[in-house]
Amino acid sequence: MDWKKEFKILGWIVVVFVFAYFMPLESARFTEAIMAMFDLAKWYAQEHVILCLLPAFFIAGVIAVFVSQGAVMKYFGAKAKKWVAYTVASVSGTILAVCSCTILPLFSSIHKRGAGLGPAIAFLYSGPAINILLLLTARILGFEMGVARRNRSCYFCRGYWLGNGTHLPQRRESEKGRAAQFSRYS
Amino acid sequence: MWQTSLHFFTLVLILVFANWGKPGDGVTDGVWYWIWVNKWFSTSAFGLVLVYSLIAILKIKWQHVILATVATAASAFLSSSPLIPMVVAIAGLSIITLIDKRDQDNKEWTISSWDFTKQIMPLLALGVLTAGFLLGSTHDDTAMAGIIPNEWVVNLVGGNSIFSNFFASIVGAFMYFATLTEVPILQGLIAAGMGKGPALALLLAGPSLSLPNMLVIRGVIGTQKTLVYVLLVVIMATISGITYGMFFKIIKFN
Repeated sequence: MDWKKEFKILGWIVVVFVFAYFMPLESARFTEAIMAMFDLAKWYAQEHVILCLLPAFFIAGVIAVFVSQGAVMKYFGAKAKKWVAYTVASVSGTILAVCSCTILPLFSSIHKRGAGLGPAIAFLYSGPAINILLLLTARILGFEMGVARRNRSCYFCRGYWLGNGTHLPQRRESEKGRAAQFSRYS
Repeated sequence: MWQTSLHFFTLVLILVFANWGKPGDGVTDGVWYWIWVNKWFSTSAFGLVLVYSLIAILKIKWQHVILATVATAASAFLSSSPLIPMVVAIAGLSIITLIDKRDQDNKEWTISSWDFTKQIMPLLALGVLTAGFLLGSTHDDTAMAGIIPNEWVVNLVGGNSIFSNFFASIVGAFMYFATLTEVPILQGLIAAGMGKGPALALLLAGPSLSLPNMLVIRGVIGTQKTLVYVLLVVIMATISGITYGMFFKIIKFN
């Protein structure tokens, strides 16, 4: 008997029970939060699932089945030349991201196909962060914001990628390295 | 290789055009507007490229593909919502790939897509429910508060201090932002007194992260790595926000 697992199950049962037992239904704030929860779920279901997620699942399927593992490893792999992997990750993130949920199946897929953690994370982050919407940001919130957002997103990719990529066992070493790299570009 | 690329990019372009957002209010001409107005024509055009790809590259029986295409087109004419033809198209695509006898890979494709669905949808559902309950629902004209009061949020992100930047990046990390909603939300917050630094922090942490996203990422790379990632994003966004805020203060004093 795996005690940790059984205690986890017990924990969840207790949490749900306590929540149900003490639910402050008289409180307007609570009921508004419940309605907000359902409202967000409904909006999400209507706006994002059919047009965003479903096609994204199929695209992730293409990566998993049709794109050769060699191709993924060549551009995203842990051993790929750093600047290549980073550039490809950021650019493809830019093209491929439509809403932040579509990036998830794609991230899962390239990770499954052997992409290095660093490039995969760079892809995951840059997708929603650097896309056409940058232009909208620039127009509405001011040009400086748009530029700042793009620059920061790029530097972050590099920073995270270098720090976390392949150095997990030697985490302290890589933290120093990443800090140095980051401060050089800030 | 170019065949896979064609197939892949066709699907991507269908996704991109189907989701092309409306340009800001009051925009009635220009490139972005034109693209948006014609998005469904573009989507359908690439749909036809997909038909070609399915027959010529994936080598699925053309009779099946044409049947699915006709069903999709019919549903497009019969229904005013683009959601119906998309559902019909996806159902059609799944069926014709699953019954395909010529190439095992086609069937594998749909089965793999289904595996991703099973992996990701439950986590997203749970995440959306939790995020909605905690932080409320903000989109289009709806602004419903979650269990965490709006006043707390507004108070905590005002000004340009380290704390307000930090708090803004945390809110950004957990709150769900659809790609277009972040700008109006930010406009509202800036109007209520949010500083430029925290605004940038929110913009950097917001789109890529949200509670639903974190749950899915955790399912892919594990809890520890997810926590490191979230922490790095929050720290990066905070620092960026602080430096940006300071940069502007310095400019103002000139």
